[in-house]
Amino acid sequence: MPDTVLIARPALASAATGHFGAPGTGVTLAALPEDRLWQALARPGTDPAPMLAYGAGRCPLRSIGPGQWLIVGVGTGTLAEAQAALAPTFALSDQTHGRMRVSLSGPRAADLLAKGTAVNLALLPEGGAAQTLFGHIGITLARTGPEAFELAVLRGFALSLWDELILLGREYGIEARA
Amino acid sequence: MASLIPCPHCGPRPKEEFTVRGAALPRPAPNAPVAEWQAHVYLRENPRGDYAEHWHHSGGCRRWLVVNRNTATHAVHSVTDAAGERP
Repeated sequence: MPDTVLIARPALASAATGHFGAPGTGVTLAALPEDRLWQALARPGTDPAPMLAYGAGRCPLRSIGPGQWLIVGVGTGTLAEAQAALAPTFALSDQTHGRMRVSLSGPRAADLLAKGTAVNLALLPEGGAAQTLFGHIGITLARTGPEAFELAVLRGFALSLWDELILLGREYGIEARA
Repeated sequence: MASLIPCPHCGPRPKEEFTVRGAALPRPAPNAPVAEWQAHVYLRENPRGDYAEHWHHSGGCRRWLVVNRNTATHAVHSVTDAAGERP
């Protein structure tokens, strides 16, 4: 018997929820299901198309640098199977336990994000992604719609990011749903 | 210090996303005299003017870059991936 029992618990289990700040809802903040999230590495310049089959959603493959991607989605199959199919071009590692995602949507979502990151959101296309800092917290920012974004963050920073987003969103009216 | 660094992979980003390693200097030969290695490791010019440095885009693409900038005017002349300079 191990001395320490690890308990699976959602990273945002104790996060604040409800409506905050100004009347109306300029921004909606929501925790996303902690589904599959892999990281892939390859030589810079490699075509990432073969990995598309393992992702899902509006932005299944997020470029986070030359030869580096996050694969998000709910697809089937194990990491070992995917690694065997993609070797030797791509090296995969499971980050499901390490990162989680929150969605930020609404007419003022871009205004809220602009307070924390210097990425030019006007030039970030739908389906595009950028690895950046939000304040001092590293995030993978992805645009999933004209007024919808997803932020992937290290699990340990998720609650801090959540609280910061609510604080910065108060002037627009923000609805938080865990 | 220059505020916006045009990363060749990520586009313009604030300097807060980067970690500066220091001057980008040609590496001495492996069998160079100790004095030459001592100078390479420890001695720096701290110039007022143009300077080439290694910057790590730690908050973004995590690539090592060579940033050519002017320490007096804060102008950034060029930013290239450090891997491009390898033989």
